[in-house]
Formats: sequence, C-alpha cells, structure tokens
Amino acid sequence: MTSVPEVDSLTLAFAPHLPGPVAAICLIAAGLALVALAWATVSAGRFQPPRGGLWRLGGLALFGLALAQPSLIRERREPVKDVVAVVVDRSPSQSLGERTLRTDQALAGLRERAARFADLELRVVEVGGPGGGPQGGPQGGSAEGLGETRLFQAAERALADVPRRRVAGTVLITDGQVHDVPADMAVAARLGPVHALLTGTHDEADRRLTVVQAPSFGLLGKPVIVTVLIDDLPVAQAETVPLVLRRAGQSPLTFHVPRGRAFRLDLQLDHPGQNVFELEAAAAPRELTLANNRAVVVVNAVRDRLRVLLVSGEPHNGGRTWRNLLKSDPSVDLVHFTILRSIEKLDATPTRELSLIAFPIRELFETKLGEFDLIVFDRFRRRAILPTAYLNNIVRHVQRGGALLEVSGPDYHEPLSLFHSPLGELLPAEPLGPTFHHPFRPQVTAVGRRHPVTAGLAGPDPAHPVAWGRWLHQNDVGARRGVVAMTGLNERPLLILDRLGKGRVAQLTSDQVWLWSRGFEGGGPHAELLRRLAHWLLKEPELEENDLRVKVDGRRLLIERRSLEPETKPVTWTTPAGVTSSIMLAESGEGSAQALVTAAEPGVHRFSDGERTALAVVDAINPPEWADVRTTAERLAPLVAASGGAVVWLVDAAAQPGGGLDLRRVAPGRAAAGFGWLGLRANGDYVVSGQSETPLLPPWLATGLLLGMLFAGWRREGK
Amino acid sequence: MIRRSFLCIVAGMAAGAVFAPSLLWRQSAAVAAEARDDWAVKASGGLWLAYVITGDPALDETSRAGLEGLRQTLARRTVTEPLGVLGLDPERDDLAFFPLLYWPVGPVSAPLGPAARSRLNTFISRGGTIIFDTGVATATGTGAGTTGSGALRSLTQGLNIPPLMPIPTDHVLSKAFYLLREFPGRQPTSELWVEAGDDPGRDGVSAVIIGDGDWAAAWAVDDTGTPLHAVIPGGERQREMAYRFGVNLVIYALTGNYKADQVHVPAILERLGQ
Repeated sequence: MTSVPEVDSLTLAFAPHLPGPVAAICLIAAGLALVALAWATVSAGRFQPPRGGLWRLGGLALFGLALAQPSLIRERREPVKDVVAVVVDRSPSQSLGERTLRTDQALAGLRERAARFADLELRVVEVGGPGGGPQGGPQGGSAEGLGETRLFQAAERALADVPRRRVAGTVLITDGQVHDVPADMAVAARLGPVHALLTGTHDEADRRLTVVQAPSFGLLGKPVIVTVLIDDLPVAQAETVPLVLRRAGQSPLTFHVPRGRAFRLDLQLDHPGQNVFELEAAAAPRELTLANNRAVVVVNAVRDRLRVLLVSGEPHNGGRTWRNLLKSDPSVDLVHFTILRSIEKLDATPTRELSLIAFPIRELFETKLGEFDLIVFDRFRRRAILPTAYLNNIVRHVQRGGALLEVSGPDYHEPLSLFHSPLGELLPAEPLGPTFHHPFRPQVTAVGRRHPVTAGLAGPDPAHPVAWGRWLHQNDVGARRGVVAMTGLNERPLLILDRLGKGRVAQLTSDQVWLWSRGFEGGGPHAELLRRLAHWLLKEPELEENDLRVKVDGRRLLIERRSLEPETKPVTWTTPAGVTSSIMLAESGEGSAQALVTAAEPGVHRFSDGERTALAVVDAINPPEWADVRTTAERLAPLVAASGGAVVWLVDAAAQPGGGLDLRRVAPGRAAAGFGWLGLRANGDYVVSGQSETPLLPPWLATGLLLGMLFAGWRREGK
Repeated sequence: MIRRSFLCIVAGMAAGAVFAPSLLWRQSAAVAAEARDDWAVKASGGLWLAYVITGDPALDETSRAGLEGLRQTLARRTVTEPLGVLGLDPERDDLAFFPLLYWPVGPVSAPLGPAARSRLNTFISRGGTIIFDTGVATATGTGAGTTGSGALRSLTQGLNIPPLMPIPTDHVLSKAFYLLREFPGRQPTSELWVEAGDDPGRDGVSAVIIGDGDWAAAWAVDDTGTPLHAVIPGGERQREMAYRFGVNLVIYALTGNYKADQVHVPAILERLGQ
C-alpha cells in the first residue's frame, strides 16, 4: 500500500447560507435589475451609468458571493488495487498429456507479470482438484457438481466481495471443457475482460463410450436393455470397436460394436439389489484418455412377486402365525398347501357335501416348483400324499438356488420325519433323541448377534438380553452344518441358517414361535424374526451376513463389512484412476464394521478385502468431465468475445518469440487484448484518506470589502 | 454333656420355628410355579378343545362331554387329533395355548372379574376365538332373543367385542371342511353372528362367534360313544350337521382363510412361469 503514490485533488466548493429557493429568487431579482439597467441604457441611446452605480453593483455581487461561501477543498487520495481472478482448472481432464505442465507454467508467468503492477491484486482459485470440489474446498462439493468443471461459479465467488469498479479482469487456465459457461453475457460485465488460456493442443483425438440409455431398475431374472454409443472424435479411427462387458463373478463378454451407431445390449439381472455392469471400449490408436472408454451401468434388480409355497403337515395351533406372516406382505404370492384329511380317515360324507377344491399337486411340485422363491415346510411329516419324486424335485430346486425353511414338529426324530426323507440331506439339524417338553427361553448366540437375521433382537447388552416369553417344547437336535443363530434348551440349536451352493436352508427346531404371537408371558419379536428369516432366505441383499457393501451418498462412501467372525483385514480402495489405498474398518458391533471415505473422482470405485469385492459408482454414468476431453475454444469463445478478452492457445503463445504472454493495463472501454498480450482493466479507483478546506471569502474579508465598496460608491456619487 | 446337647436341641427348635414358615412358603411357591409350568407344557403340546367353566355343574359337564364327542369326531374324520378337553377358568388360567374357547351362557352369569376380563381381551387381540353358545339360556326361556340375551350381555361387559353381523352365505366357516348351509346344534340355530369386517392380522378368523345352537348338547357322548341328548326337532341328520359344524369351527380356527384362499391357487399358478 505504501508504495502506491498518493494523488491529491483540488475542488472549488460552495456552501450557500441561504436555502436554495431564496437564493434562486435573489439571483432572479439581481438578473432583472441588470436587465432593467441594460434596457435603460439602450433606450437612452448611450451608456450613462448612474454615478457610483458600478461600485454599488460590485458591492451587491460581492454580497451575493459572500452568501454563497466559496471554499477550496483539497482531497488526499489513495489509489485502490484492481483485482484479477485467475481460475485454474484442475479437473481430471486437465491432467492429460502436457496440460498440467502448461497450466503450471502459465500460472507462474501470470504471477510474475502481475507482480510488476503495484495496483493489481491476483486472486488464484483452483477448481476440481483432488480432494476438492468445484470450489477447491469440501464445502463446495455438491453431489451433482462432481464430474463437471465449473469455472465461472468459482470466478464469481472469487470476485464476490470486489466492487465492479475494481475488477481488472478474469483469466481462465483450462482445456476449454467448461460446463458452466453462462448464456447471459451480463456476466462478462461483472468479470471484466475474460481471457481463456487453453492448455491442450490443436490436433487432439479421442474415442469415447457413451451410455445412451440405461434403466435404473429392472426385474430380477429379466433382461434390461442398455443402449451404448462408441464414437471417435473428431474423425473415425475404426469401423467396429470391440466392447468388453464385465460383471462380478462372470467371465467377460466381448461385443463388436459398429462405431458411431447406437448399439443395444440385453443385460440379464441375476441377483437382487445392485447389478453393476462395466463396459470398456478398446483403445483407439490415438487417445487422450481411456477414462471415457469405460462406462458403468448400475441396475437395481427388484423381484416382481415373491412366490412362497407353504406346506403344512396338519392344522395346528401355530399354523396361522405363518399364514399371517406371509399374507401380511403384499409382494408375496402365497400358495398354501395343507392336509386336512388323509386316506386312513373314515368319513361317509358324500363328496358334494365336502368342501373340496382339487389341489394341483403335480403342477405345484413338478412343473411349477422352480418358480417358487421359498418353500416352507411347517410341521410336515411324510405321508403318502407327497411322493418321493416330488421331494426329490424340491432337493434339486433348493440346490440350484431355491430356499427352504423347515419348522419341525415334535416327531422330528421319528421314522416319518422329513429328516428321513430325501429332503433330509438338505437339513442341517440332526435328531439326537425325543423332543424335550420343558420350558426354556430362546437365546441369541454370539454368532447370532452378528447375523443380520437375529442381530439386535435381544437388545444391545449380551449379558442382559431382553426377557422374551418362554417356549415349551424343542427337538433334541445337533447342527451338522450351518450357523446356529439361536439356541434353546440345553444349548441345543433352535435356529440354524445354512447355505447349500446357491440355495439356502433354515431350520427352526421348535414349532413354538406361535407362543410369542399369542402373547404367552408377554411374547417376543416373532414378527421381526420371521420377517427377517424369510427375507434372508429370499436373498434380500440387506440381510447378507458375509458381505462387503458400499453405500453411496453423493461423494461420501460408507463402506460396511458384515461378517460372522470379527475381521481386521483392511479394505483396498481403488479409485477410477487406479490409485489404491488401504482403509481400516471400525467394528461397530452386531457383525458390522464400517468406514466413511470421500470420493474425489467420478466413476467406479472398487473396494476389496481380498475375499469380498464391492463396487461404488460415484456420479452419473456419463460424467460430463470425460464426455469430450479435447481442448476446445468453442465453449468459451462467445463469452470471451463479449467481454473483450482473448482466447489464447498456450502452445501458440509459447511458439512465439519471447515465449509467453505479456500483461498490460488498459483504460476501461479500450481493447483488452492484442498480439502477445492480455489486457487488464486499469480502473484508477481510490479511497479518500484526508480532506482540508480553505474558505476563499471569510466573513471578515467580505465585510471589509463590502463596506469599502459602498463607501467608494457613496464617494463617487457625492462627487 | 447332656445339658449341652439339650441346649443344642432347644436352639435348633427355635431356629426351625423362625425359619420353617418362610422356607415352606418358598417351597410351596416353587411347587406352584412348577405345577404351572407343567400345565403350560401340557396345554401347549398340541390342540386341546377348551371350554369356559361356568360354575353350573350340569352345564360344565355338558360342555366337557360335548367337546369330547367333537374330539372323537375330529380324530376320526380329519388329520386334526386333539389331545383332549380342558375346562378353563379365565380368572386363573392362561388362555394363550388355545385357539378356540367354547363358552356356554347359562341362565345366570356372574360378571367377570378384572383378571378374567384382561385375559380374555388379550386372548381376543392375539388371535383367539370365543364362541358364545346362548342355546341353554334360550331353551330355558331366560334369554330375550339370541344375542340380546341379558345373561350374555352381563357376561361380556368390558370385553372388546368387535362389531358383529349375521354370517354371510359365503363365509369360510361354511366351507372350512364341510359345505354347510345351516349350523344346528341340539336345536336349530336361529342366527349365527360373526365379526363384521376383516382384520388383516386374524386371517379372516372372527374373534367372537355367537349362536344359540346348544351345540355341546348335540355333540355330547358318554364313555361308550353314545349320544347323551336328543336333538330337537330331531333326526341323526341334525346331529350329523351339528358335528360337521363343530369340525368346521375347529378347522376354521386353526387354518383361517385357507379354504377361501384356495380358489386363488389356480390363478397364481397360471401366473407362474409366464
């Protein structure tokens, strides 16, 4: 500040004693008097002023002047620095080729040249850099902004506190792929002359893959249609391009896609929840980046209807508990099959008086069996009514990915038990002896506390579980497979959860859950337990017990590992750019370990702990940032022209003698760009730091002069 | 020496006099809890046909014999084989183990105590069904109509009885096992009332059923299986119909809307695999 020369200014000021209207009347009166005098002179034909009249006129004028109180004002002025905003594009596309180098050189050049002007302040803003949002800070990171380059937003923010009369201009160092170029040219006036320094070269070429159309939801087991487009910019580099499709757990598929034409892919959704498809177009001979040769399509698979087949052995006290559970879910189609009469029963009633509805048993257990997502056997004993062939069908269906829930009745150890049927090979509970008939309180085991089916049911404190109503009968069984989530009497397994290949089997070794629904001793969490049990069997992704998953919320990624055993393995995080880092998860109890990270880059982030892998897709499927990475002047040119600035390719500027750009200060309204130089407005603004006032006609002087004149006029008249 | 042992005995007796009552009390509490547990284990071990003890010995005996007759019929004709018949006192017994309570309304009924009221209301809200049989009251002429019986009204004071309606012709109770057009007992039922509206948590099972068939009398058999009471106007066909109603009632209480849902199965199967 001190180096800036001070400038003074002199001003003549008046501070009239009379209010405006009175002064005006006086002036008019004086004017009329002069006119009358002149008229008298002219009509007399000769100039013959009254004696002493000139003196009196002079006195009158002096009196008027004294009333106007003239003074001389001297101001001390300090010039204020003009501000130039330099917005540096650090978006991922700016890291291609030599762009970063040119950007850094241009910025250094600007800093150095700007330092030569004492009245110029340089404000540098970096946009879209690693770890930063559009404003270079985490607070600016709105979710939709990621993947876009928003330089004007940053420039306006940088100059927000600068009055327009102090703005010298704006310089953008970018590849020209700016996504917030204002359509309104008034912005140009606010930013001063806008200069764009382009970092790329003129002959860039690139291939890109665009997802034209992709649904976000689809029905499980049904294909979804995804349309993609591969094109080469600016000119074709091949006629067909190999496109590789990858998805978790499957070998990659290659399609030969004609360039420049929409190509339709039919993608099968094979598991509920997020299905992630990765697409990659082969590299062209000339490429700026491979980042836009890749695309990710995420489709959430939902089930159309859940088909549940409930097979009850006989009507019993707990039968309605299962019906209520399955019928209360509107997405479930329940087919209930129960046996009300069997062939050994005697009933002479004529058929027409019986309520008989033919049950399509063969259709259920043979042709349509594969359509059921879950089969529940509730207190079922082997009766002739279900032939062995049908039970074999069920075994095959479950092994291929179906689900079975067996709720054992008190005769599980007897010869007619399902355990001794073909279905027995699916069942993890092995009968050890006769059923216990004694009260016991169901307990969630240590591993059950970590399993999503039973986690949290017994309360937060393992030492003091919630007191549920007791159950009164339980089969004496041992678990030969699976996870024992609950135990009952004598620590015998009560709830066993098991996986068989792609299929799932659960067994409840007591038929007493109805005691909870009937409220015996206050009941228990039967509704929640059975709902979760059914949904775990139906492979609801939320209830996976051994899983790594990432929840994406804007740019925040919540990594969660669910495991039945506590694990300390770190998770490796691979960003779309291929940078890896290791993340430790914090155990949060109940089988879950979590960590929260922030993604700096759009695209597919891959997380793996060596055993499980999870993908997180950040931002849109076609990030605008990578849509076109060629350096272009087109987007910025109209606004730059309107502002009076210049678009300069740094490669061209470097080729010129002198190698670089000069900065010049130009007066407002003058051309702000020329060959080899950029103009920044010199506004010459100042602040007033002091003021002194010198009265030109102080009262004592005015009085003296007035008296002198009147006296002179009197003397002249008297002569 | 003798004196010392005598002192010991005296001291022991004094201690015994002080501690024995509390020990005994604790022991008897434990015995009572164990007995209650044993009863609960027995009651929850399968289906018991249960009736409410009214205190009128003749009425209670008819209920017991009637449910025994129904038990034998169920075991003979269906896969449902009830373990037996239990008389319950709602003032004292846990009702959670029973899907259905048969409750004959006698000419005079004492109002319920608070414990019984609370138990019965829990029973109703947790999916249980009470069938009130006003047949005895109607037959003896003490009731003024079926459901408006004064005895029934005083009995059900304070119970959360849902709104009722006469049974519609397509009600699942009329097709749970047999196809029924009427529901006679020892006498023809003038009207059978069931819950109006459908509570989704109950699978279509009415919380309360009221009728005046005097069904237990029609079902009642002696030890040899011989019917104990004549049916009015009479005929084995009427008794057979009474048994069919009893079978439907129990199957209905156990399987809910099963039979009504069965008509939708072909449509669901039709949709599968398309």
